Amino acid sequence: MEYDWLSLLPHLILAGGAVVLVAAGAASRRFAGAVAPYFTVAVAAATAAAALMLWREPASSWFGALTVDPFFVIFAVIFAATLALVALLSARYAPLDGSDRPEYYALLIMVTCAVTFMASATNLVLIYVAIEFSSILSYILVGYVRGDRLSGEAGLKYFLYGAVASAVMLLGFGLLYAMTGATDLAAVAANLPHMGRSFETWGYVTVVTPSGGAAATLSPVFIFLAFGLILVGLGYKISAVPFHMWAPDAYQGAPTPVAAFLSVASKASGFAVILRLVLTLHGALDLVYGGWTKYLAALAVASMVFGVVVGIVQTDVRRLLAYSSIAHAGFALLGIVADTQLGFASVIVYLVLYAAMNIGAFGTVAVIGHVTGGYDLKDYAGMGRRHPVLAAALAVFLLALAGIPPLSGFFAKFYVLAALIDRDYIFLAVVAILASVVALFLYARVIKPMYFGKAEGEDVRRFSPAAAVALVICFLFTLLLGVWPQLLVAWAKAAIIPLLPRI
Amino acid sequence: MVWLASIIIIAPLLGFLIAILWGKRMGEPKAAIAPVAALGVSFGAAIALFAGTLLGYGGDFSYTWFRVGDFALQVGFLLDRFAGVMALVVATVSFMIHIYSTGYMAGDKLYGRYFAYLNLFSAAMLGLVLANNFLQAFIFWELVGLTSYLLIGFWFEKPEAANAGMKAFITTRLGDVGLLVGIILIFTLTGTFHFGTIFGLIEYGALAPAMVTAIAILIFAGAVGKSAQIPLHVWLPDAMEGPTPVSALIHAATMVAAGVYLVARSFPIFVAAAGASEVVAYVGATTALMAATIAVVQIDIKRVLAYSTISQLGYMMLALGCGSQAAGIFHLYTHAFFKALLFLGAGAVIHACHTNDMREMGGLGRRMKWTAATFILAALALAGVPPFSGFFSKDEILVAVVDHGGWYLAFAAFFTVFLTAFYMFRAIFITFGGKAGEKAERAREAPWNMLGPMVFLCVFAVVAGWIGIPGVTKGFAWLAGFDVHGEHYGINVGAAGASLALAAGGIGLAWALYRLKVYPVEKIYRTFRPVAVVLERKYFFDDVYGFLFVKGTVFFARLWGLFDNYVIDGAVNGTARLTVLLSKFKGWFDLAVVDGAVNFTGWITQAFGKTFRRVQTGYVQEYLIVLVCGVIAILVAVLVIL
Repeated sequence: MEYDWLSLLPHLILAGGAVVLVAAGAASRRFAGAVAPYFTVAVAAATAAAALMLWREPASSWFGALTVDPFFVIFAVIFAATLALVALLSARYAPLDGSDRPEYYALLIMVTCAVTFMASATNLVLIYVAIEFSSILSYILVGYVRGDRLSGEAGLKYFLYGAVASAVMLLGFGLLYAMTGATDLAAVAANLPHMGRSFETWGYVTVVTPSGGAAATLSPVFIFLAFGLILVGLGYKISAVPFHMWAPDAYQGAPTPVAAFLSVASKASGFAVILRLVLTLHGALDLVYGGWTKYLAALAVASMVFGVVVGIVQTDVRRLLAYSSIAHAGFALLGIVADTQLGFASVIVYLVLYAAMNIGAFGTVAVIGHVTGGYDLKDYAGMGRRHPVLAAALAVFLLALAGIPPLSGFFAKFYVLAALIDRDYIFLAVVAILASVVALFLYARVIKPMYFGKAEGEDVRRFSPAAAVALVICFLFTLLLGVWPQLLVAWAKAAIIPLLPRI
Repeated sequence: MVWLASIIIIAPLLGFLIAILWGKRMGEPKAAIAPVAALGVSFGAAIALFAGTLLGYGGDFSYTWFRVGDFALQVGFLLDRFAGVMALVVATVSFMIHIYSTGYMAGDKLYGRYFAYLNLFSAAMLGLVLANNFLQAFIFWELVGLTSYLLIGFWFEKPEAANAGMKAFITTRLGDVGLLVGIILIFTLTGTFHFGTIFGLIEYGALAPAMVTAIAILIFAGAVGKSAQIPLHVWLPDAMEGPTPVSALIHAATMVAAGVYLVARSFPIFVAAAGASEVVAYVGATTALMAATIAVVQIDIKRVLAYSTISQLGYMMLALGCGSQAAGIFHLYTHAFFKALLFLGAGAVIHACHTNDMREMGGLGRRMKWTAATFILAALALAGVPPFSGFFSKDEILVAVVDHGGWYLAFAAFFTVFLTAFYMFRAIFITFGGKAGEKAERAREAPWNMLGPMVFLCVFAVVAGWIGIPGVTKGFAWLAGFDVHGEHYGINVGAAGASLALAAGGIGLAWALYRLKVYPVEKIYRTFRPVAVVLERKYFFDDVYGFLFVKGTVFFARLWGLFDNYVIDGAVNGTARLTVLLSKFKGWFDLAVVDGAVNFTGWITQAFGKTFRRVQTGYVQEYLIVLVCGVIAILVAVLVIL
């Protein structure tokens, strides 16, 4: 069915929700502002429900521009959940003037709509438009705090950086189009010279060269070049080294709930596009000289090492978490490097588990910032005494990020490592483990002052119950998914299997 | 049933979290509410679980925790009657001791934390008895050990308490290493941790007999540490430095019984390994006898009870080693009630007199009537006097020992009965009888929240054994669902009569010596001085260990020092260069390997971090330059391919 409105439903709910909120804001700002966070949660719930309803055999619609499959459903649910949690965390958040403004939530819903498109798009043009759409909204959200120099500066830096990165990426997309004369991913894959191979047995390798089109006479070098240029734009989306430099500034300057969104949903959307491109164009990628995975591996290792090493000397907790999220992007990339069913599935598992614990960490930082007005490590001294519950929650989220069992982070890392060891990538596994060990030190730098520092300073505000609800949800997921990851793993596998390349 | 089992474990865990997070803020009476309520919930759920197992709703519930490739890690609950009985015993005693502690710990500055630890302990202990595989059991086993360490050293300002905690931790760790090796050995041989599968394989004869014996001995090593059997018993008397309710719960009724529980749970392994069972029996018998003789000369009321506990645990091991699972666990079950009660009574006395020394008490029977009455009933149960609970369980053990044969085992079993009755009533006559001692004059009866649990436990101490009246009730083996391999269930008139006579003799002797004072005790003491010294020094175990391990380490350190001196002296005599080289090497080794391993990593990381952060200048132009460098790197990679 080409005009499949049902497959558009999750996107439409989000777009419609944003429009309704803006219109309501025009009618009555006070009313719309008061209900905005909860309206956003309702929109997110409806989106997730609509997406789950679409859990079915992969179906392409809208002339191949959009594909709805379990893979999309999982990402749509991640995005919707992130939206809901971030909306709850934003309610009455002080740096947003304390009053809830409907536009802010409308922007949040719209950026979620954009990243949802990134997960379902299977056309180069739509992918590019969705990425731009989400980036532009992110710039606005980062620079949202009026009168805050840091926020404005961060928004501008993010914008300049993103503009260059996406221009480079567009060059890559253009190159693919020039070679194949198609923008639909399936057609691009068919028109590029590619390798056919069995994914299960690693056998039956045959090189297929399409007879027609410009691609027939092209050397694989151009294919590689196109992928390399695209990687710049996606590397920027997931903030992998060396395309990460915007992240610390943006996370520090942005309202902290927005930083939580960027570090989770935005990053996950980048991974969604990478996974879809890699899996659809797998045959062409295999022609890359010496194997394409080693280039991703270099990016992954650089991100992990750089992220934790530079993170250690940070004194602003938001910057520290930004570097931590860079390191996590590197770790998740390793799942793609493994290039097996388990590897790809482990990326999805990683992203889901990482979402809960990272929103939790950023959310706690936001709440602590709201209550005490400080984001510096020295403001955290004695937090264990001043706010034992918040301190304990942050400690749990950070330990989860560090990968301490039985918290969810352990399993996230465990499956990636299992995938690597399965392929005998022992060196990468060892590097990843060493980086995790150093990362523990990174997180301990926050935990230590909380419990061994001397408390000083007074609370300036009380925290909102909505934020507490969000933190409790993150906490439960961090704990429960760590103890019981089995179901999630099954879902991730179900999402990946239909996408695996076939001969 | 699985829900019930989960509630039993999760309720105290929640109590622990609440107490550790908010305990300090809530202040004294309030901090105990959540922990006590949590145990109340566990207690209720344990009753329901026990009833459920009796009605046949039990079973082995396994769930896959996670799966990687072919290996699936299973977790779950084994909810048979045995587990039901154990959960009920642990939950009952624990609940009572929580209530008692609200009175005993009143005024302590770490009130909230105390209850937090107590809750964590209960959760771990209940988790241990409900586990259905070795891995899960081992995790809870270690958690139990950790909380025991925390609670022994609870008054950590006292150096004795801190040292006792450490001693307990290190000593039990020795046994745990054995247990861990045993579990790993099981896993390598069978590929599973699951109790049922492993026991099935062993009963089927799938494992080499030598391997089964090795596994049994290694598991028993863990039990020796935890259940304070010789030669690892030295930590338990020192553990009495902890608060008395802790001694009652952890070091009398539950944790120390965990070793016995583990051996009983792994009984099929021991059945298949006859040699290992003999070891269990002899170690148990020796422990029972030796500890009972030491208890005779103790003057600290808690230490009398501590050695009595070691002795009774040895008794349980003896029963297991003689092939009677039912008798061993029956005694564990009755012992939990009356020994906990004895400790609570001792706690009440200590609370009233502020001393542990029995000679400073005296005459408390008139001042603390309830305490004295419950204490005496519990002591009668321990001594094995009918119709109190201990009589029935002890009788089953004696029957098992007689059936098994072996003169040493029988001698140890019967002589211990005599000694037990003697030291318990010695303690009673000194503490509660006679003239009021110097510290006993202002003693008052304990408050209701301490007496209530004592009276409750007293009821159990009296009636718990009645499940084993032959011809009237069905017997403990039925209750715990044990397969009794043709063991006959019935009273052995000879054994019962002999033990009764010995118990009466013990009580009578104590009565004669400490109440009627027919012959001055000091004189006996002087006549048998060498024996008394051996007993007072506890067979020199602590001295030997102190000499071997503590002094030994110091000795080697000294020797090393002499060696250093010698080398340095030699250097003076002309080998200067060599020494400088050597000491340089030593210095380098210390710096590079010992300190360096830690410091260097931290230093290099920070140094790199400081260097790399300079890249992050804040100028967006420079950020973009880095991005362009990335693009160029990709182009270069492409060119390399060309």
